[in-house]
Amino acid sequence: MSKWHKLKRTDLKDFLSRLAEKWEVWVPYRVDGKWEFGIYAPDREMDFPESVIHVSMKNLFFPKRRPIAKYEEDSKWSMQPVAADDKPRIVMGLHPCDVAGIEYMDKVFLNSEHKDVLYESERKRTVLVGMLCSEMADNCHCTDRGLTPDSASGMDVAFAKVDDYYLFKGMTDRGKEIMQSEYLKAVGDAPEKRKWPAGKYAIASPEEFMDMYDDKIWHELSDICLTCGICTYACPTCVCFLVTDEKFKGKGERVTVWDSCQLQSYSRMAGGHNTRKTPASRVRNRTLDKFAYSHLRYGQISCTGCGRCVMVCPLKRSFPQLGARLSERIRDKKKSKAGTGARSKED
Amino acid sequence: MKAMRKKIKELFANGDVDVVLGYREDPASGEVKASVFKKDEMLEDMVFDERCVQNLVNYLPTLVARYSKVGIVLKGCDGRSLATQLVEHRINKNQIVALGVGCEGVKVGGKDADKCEDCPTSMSPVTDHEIGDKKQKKDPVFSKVEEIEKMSPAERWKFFAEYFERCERCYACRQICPSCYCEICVADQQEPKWIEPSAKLSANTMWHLIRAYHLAGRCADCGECERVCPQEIPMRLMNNALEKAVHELFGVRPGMDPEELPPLVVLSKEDPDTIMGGKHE
Amino acid sequence: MQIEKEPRILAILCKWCSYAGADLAGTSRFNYPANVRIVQVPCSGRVDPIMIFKAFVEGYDGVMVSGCHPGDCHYGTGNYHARRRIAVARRLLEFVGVHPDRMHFTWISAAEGKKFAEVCSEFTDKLRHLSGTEKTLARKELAT
Repeated sequence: MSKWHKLKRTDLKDFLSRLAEKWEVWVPYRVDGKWEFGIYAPDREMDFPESVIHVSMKNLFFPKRRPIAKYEEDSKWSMQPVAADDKPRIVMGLHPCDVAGIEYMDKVFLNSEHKDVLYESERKRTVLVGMLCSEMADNCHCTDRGLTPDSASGMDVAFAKVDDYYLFKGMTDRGKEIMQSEYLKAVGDAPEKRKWPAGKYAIASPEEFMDMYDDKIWHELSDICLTCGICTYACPTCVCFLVTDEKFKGKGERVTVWDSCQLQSYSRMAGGHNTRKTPASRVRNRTLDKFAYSHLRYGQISCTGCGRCVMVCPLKRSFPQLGARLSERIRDKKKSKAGTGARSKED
Repeated sequence: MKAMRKKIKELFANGDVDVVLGYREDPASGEVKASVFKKDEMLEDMVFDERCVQNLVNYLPTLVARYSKVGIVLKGCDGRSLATQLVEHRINKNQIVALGVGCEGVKVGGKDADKCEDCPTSMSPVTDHEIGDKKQKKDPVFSKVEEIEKMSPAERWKFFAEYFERCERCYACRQICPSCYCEICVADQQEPKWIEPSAKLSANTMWHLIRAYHLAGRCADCGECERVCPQEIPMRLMNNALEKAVHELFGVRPGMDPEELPPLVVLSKEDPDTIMGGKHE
Repeated sequence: MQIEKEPRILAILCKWCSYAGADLAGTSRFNYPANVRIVQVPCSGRVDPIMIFKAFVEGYDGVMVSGCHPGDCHYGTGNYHARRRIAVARRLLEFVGVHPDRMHFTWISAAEGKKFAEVCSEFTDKLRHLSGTEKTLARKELAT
């Protein structure tokens, strides 16, 4: 394997400017105290966050609003598929949980019978330059979801912030080209490995969650939820979208737009029937999707432990805590079943 | 606080209420959350202070469907909100026991909430039992609305467009609002598609305009929409502007009287044509 | 985007009075600017402010709504409701930055063909005076 390379913090701008000659470089910026991702511009102040930020990387691969076909009045409204962008791109500053989210999206969009060609091209043109976390934020619980804040798995290039320099390491062939930069100097020592706390929001197994489907607890839980859609928009593994047509001045686009299972309109069908009319059923859907359905479909639960849902929640409710609370309930149920050999009265 | 607990205990003992909707301080986390209190349950955790920001009226429709008698703890603003729901027959007054509490103002993020500045009622206008003092309050001034009104049209649009652009269309504002209760929201309609579902300036503008308009003469300024907005869009500004407009045009202040129908539901032959703007002979 | 020299105007007219008035203006050969596009509705009470909002967002320079005179509504009271709704919608639009001269609300009866032509010319003139100023609310392209 290749070695760790050192980049002086003062060289960062030159390093990025050199990369920007060939690639479209996306880096995090802080605007009015909030983070956002943007294309690198030398005159803009930028920094890398120590840990997870409230915006999800999803938007860079599977945008909020994404045209998939275009049509024009002049060409008698005949539909033309949107050409995929193939300009090489570097996305810099993703954290291990973001990468895990992208890997999950790959399973949804790429491994099925019908590939999402636009998503595929976004993935193909992108070199993932991931950043190893130097701390765990308040809501972080990736250690409970089988990840490590400083694991480089899935990244093309990994880097870490150390004192006044960065340490870079190429992980794949695609990352090698970046590693050839003159600003990177090979050094022997790897960044220090740390022990990370775990067990904050431990959860039950997917099968056990499936047993909770008919439980009464959902009604108690939904009282705390507004059923707005912001957690699903922030979630790196929520991939639902709706397809709609938009027209303006003789031009039209067929677009995919993020949708959310938390909204009433999500499961309303033609004819007006709504399969998930109550907030309880919608909260249940999201919870079970994260902890059980995803496992049935793709073999892994779809919570990466990034904690964004808590960061953005208008009521500051904690989704991971909800998962933990349910797991507690599952344990209690099991105990009472084992004890009496029958279903408890409450259930 | 003591008086409130005593009153509630009394109500439970007399069988006047099945449940009481109030604020509870979680003993573990110290957070104050909306909670449903049952007889002899958790009553010692009940609180009422400046941390009780949330408008509880939004929970009432589900509760009155489940229980026959529901008690509710009301701040002044929540009481106005309840009044708007009563006049729209969304909730039957016979199922409600309204506990008005003299409100000293609430705090959001450590600061006095903006809405308290313009609050016309320290005590709910709908009460069965009053706890605490009722303070005489003035009619709202809406100084922030007046600031906007001093701007030119282009400046106003610049101000609002910046915020509209940020909207993610999560609909938290709609979900928290007691007055937003359409079976199918106009924003969810596919045909005709008045409001496109994608989060972009034009569609967001449509959403915020129609949200504000649908609340004209009905919004009692509980300020929840603005509080829950993850993008901090100043929705109260638009609500207040229309509250002011409705008062100037029709002399109505929503929420102050549970008997008065919303001004856009009733009609008046006496309205002057000049309210539509322009000159009319 | 700016308001154009030849403004585009959307006129929402009630079927019984104002549309008939517009018809009369035509059959009586009164001249009025060709900037007006007419939408017929059954009653001015049918005018949902969302129509007015949409017209501005989709790029119309001006919007005009007209119905029967108060007391003459074919359905009795539709125009009284319309008057209140429009008064509120107008205040909201002005508040977010639509110039008051870009809206015109009036009553035109079936016999007032001349008035219709006059209102159209007046309104068009008003908008021409605004040409060059920013057309607020209007979207620029598909993706905005």
